[in-house]
Amino acid sequence: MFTSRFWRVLAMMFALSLVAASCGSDSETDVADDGETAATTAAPEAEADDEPADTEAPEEEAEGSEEDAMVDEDLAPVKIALIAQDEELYSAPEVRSAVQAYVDYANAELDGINGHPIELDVCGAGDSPESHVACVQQFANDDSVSLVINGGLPGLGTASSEGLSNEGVPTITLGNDFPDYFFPGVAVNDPGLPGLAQVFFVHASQNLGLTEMSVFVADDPAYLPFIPVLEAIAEANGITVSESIPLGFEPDLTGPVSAANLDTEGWLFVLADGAQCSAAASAVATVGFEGQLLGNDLCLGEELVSSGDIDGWSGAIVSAMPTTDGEDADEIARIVETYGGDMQTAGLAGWAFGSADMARDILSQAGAGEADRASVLGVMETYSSSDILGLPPISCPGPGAWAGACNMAPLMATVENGALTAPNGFVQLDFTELDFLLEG
Amino acid sequence: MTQRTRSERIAILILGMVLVLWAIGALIDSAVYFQPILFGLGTGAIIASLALGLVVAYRASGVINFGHGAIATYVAYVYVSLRDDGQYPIPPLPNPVAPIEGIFGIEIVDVPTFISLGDGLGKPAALTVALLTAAVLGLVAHYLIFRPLRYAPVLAKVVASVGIMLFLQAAVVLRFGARAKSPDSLFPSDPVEFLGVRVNEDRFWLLGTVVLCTLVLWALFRFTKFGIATRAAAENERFTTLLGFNADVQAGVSWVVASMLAGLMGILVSPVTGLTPNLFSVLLISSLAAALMGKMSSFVVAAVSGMMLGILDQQLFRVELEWDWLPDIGLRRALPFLAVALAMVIRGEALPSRGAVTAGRLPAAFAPKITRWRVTGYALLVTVSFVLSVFAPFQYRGAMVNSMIGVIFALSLVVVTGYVGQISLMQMALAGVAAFGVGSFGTEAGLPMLIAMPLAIVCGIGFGMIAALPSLRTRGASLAVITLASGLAIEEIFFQRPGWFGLEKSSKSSDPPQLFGLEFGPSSDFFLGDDKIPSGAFGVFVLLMTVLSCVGVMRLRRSRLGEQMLAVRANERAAAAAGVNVAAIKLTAFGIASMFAALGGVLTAYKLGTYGGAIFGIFASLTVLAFAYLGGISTVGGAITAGTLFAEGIGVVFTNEFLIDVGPYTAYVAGFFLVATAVYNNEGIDGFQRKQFHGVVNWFRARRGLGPLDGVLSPAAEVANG
Repeated sequence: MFTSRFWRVLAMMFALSLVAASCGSDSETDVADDGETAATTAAPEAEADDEPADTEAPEEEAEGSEEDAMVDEDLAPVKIALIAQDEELYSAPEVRSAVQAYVDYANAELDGINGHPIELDVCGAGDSPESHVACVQQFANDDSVSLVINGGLPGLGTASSEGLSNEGVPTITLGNDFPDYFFPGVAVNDPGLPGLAQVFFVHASQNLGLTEMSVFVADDPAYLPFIPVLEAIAEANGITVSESIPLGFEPDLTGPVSAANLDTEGWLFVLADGAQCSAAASAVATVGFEGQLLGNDLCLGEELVSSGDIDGWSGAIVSAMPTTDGEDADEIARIVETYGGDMQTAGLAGWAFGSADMARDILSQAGAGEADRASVLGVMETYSSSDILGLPPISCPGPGAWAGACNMAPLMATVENGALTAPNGFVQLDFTELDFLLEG
Repeated sequence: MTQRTRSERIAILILGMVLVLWAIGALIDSAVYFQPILFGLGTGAIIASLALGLVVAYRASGVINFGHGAIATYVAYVYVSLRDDGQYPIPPLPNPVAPIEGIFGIEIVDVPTFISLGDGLGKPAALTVALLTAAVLGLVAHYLIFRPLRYAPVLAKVVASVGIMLFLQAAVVLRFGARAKSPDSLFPSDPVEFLGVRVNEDRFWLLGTVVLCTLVLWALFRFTKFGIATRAAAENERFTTLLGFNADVQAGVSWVVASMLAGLMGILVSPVTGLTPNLFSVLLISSLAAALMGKMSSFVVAAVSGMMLGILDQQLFRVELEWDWLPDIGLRRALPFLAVALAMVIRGEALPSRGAVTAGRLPAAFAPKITRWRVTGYALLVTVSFVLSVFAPFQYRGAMVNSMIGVIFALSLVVVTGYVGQISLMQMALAGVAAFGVGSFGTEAGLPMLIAMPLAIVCGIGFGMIAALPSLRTRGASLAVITLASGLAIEEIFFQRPGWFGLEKSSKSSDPPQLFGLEFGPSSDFFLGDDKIPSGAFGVFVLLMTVLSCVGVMRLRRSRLGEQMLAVRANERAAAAAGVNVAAIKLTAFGIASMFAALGGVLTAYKLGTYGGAIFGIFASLTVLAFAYLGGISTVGGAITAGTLFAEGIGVVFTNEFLIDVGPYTAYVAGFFLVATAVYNNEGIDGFQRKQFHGVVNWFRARRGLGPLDGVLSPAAEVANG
């Protein structure tokens, strides 16, 4: 009854419909974590027509805003470019959501950039380096792009920052590897792994009073070079790293974790993803370690924090956004509630939100509508601000050889009852103390 | 019986190795005498449970189901969603009126993304719904995918299972996001003291579940009429059908069992591992090793091997930690696969294949006559490629480069798989060897491109030839597994650590190619085209390599060597009887294919400038194979078509720019098309287009009283092609 031709036709129809559906009525909310929004966000007026619920500021917020904080629709929009790695498995969809929320907020409640509406130009990237290269080429070849926020994740992000730097495109990026700090025209808005290495031990030494720790590092090429760095920085802060244990990606980490000395005062985990952190937390609970526990920001994802599995852990994060009591937390929460929809606020959302604020400020100082790459690079050479939402004081360039290290004060957060708190606030680092790392 | 005994010998061999290592570990630290076993329980149980599902699916359909882990993941996410907020996910569905909605800017159909079943279901209800979902997935996998493929070549089944993996993983990301989740455990999970070691209680429950599942499956397939008939169907489907059994229904039931098993273990295990969209697909690789120990047929050996691998992993960890003098060569992660590859080579036995009624064949290796029209067509294609690579807007230039490199990767599979019928799942690993090699020889050692590039390619060929040795004794699914194991071993041993064929620190860098003082990199100046990146210089360089590669493969197909390759593909024994040196032909094919893979790797290195090992990993090899198959794995035209489909290739960019930007739906749609192509059009896009084109041309020729166009293979010629 059903011939193979019938099935072929049916399959073809299904396939065509599927493709059509993907750009049809499967609306924005279909994508978890707001993973897909319009590639380019127009000025606020145009948005208001399409999505009034998301973009219109509520009355009470409008009352609170400055009367003269209005976007002039006659002025040309100023573009902020974003590389968002959210199109495949290894992704951070909250970056796009957070930058989008900030842009909507700035256009609706502030004056855009000096009265110019902000236009967000997003290049979605996936897990393949080709997609990141395509984004670099897209922005490098677009003369209207004078500043890029690079949300590329470790491994791919560094390569694209290098590419943007080579093409002379000013960039605000995550700092995940040493080269990030030395690319000309790249401001690192995250202390990254070198900074984290320092902040852990500063915090452990000064706030927790530890003198000896065990370190667990993801058994991954991107992380393993940091083991000697961690040991050296610990020593510089008066802490002895008694053992460094590579943690693999096997499903049950009890064995490797149990190999560590249970009598050590503290354990530090620098891991590669949330699943590894989850497995590590389970292993820690099993072996019954009772000392201080510290983890990198990838262990402080929303799901893992709210599960209660890492209650008692401390970790360095970039922004006050996901905390309950950090600086600016209330204002950010209001903005996110108004413009962010159901976006995830943990992960890289705070970094992205702060980076968008910083980008707006830099573009404003560079002349807004008159800004070009040269003027933006000029501003970034001496840029500083204490008003970036959720972030500590920013100062560019960084000290000494660490030119990209504009953000040197992570927030030390602790997980309590399934929520992040920040009782100790930002921890100011001195990257010149890391100069010894450059000698090798 | 004999086979099982041999399988068990392998398991005993591994057990012996474990015991020796255990004893060594005990000598190092007697306090941890029992730790490796107890700490290996969790990992071992997870590996074993996935291995059981693989064996069930293989017994049902002769499929090594690379999508098995994705099924486990999807069902686990469904369970978590139901538990958290009672939301049941609806995967992105086709909307037939979407074009109308798009044109008129209205919404006619509101496609739901979730169905609410209440505020967070209880564990029994959530478990039931999730397992029913798994059952439906199993039925869909069987009746819509693997039943139509039951007489298809192994390659089509491999591609279909890769398509399932991509499709389900993408569905998970689209519905649940990519962040890790931390589900509640179904089992008590407090630590308990056992033999002086603190272990989580749930590990014992997991072990018990695996043992129970193993015994049930063993008994089901050994003592019940269903099991015996299924085993009989695997041996001889026609005979079993004549006896009155419905092999189709048996396979369907087995698929349901395999999927429910995957889902159950996903739900039980994810509280231990955390849950991410690709977690179980990654773990599946280790499970594959365990399943292979049991020759994809023995539940007991697969389960025991899985447990042993878990324990072995723990012991090796201890040994590596304690013995600083041991070189860090990734032995721990590569050992299971080296053991599998070695065992299969030494044993020289193929995996049991289903005694299907008819044997499937690979797509025809079309070899058109070189006519004036065709030469004109090729010249036109090269000219258009040149213009696009040099003068087109930058995004199309970049896309052309990606596509042309993709063509070269696909050509490597055309040679080894399309012409000789050998499945290789290690091509990207060979590409990685050459990519890292050219960085070492060129940038680090300072050798000129004319030396560094050939040297890197020769290294790729060398690795490929060594890894190809098992092909002399195995074929089909067995060879697929061995090449997968080889690729994984190369990745783990070389790409993950510093070395000549590995990293410099956390990545590798390669300077742009230079020839006679001229630079041909993506950012190099070029006298043609605009000054945007990538420059036309790199496009011309890659185009030259691609044209040479295509011409080389076309000439190979028409050469005596090419005819011998096809003879080997069609029937090795007949080819040998006709005087063809089958072993030499296979090795030659692997060598040539490795050369193309290595060339693609070198060009990738030049394109990226800075790169790591992940892009040359096992999943990249699977994806390349899948796209090559989608394009048409037996022809140069198919390779060219495949190239357009690669990541950020010209076909993808063109589609996004002018038709539909599928954005985050890319992997979802690609997975769907892979499955559809494997099932309904095994000639690939190229074969489909060719047939349609020739049909139209011949219709016109017939009206003019002319004979059919040359180059259309008669049925007899198609059979001769394999």
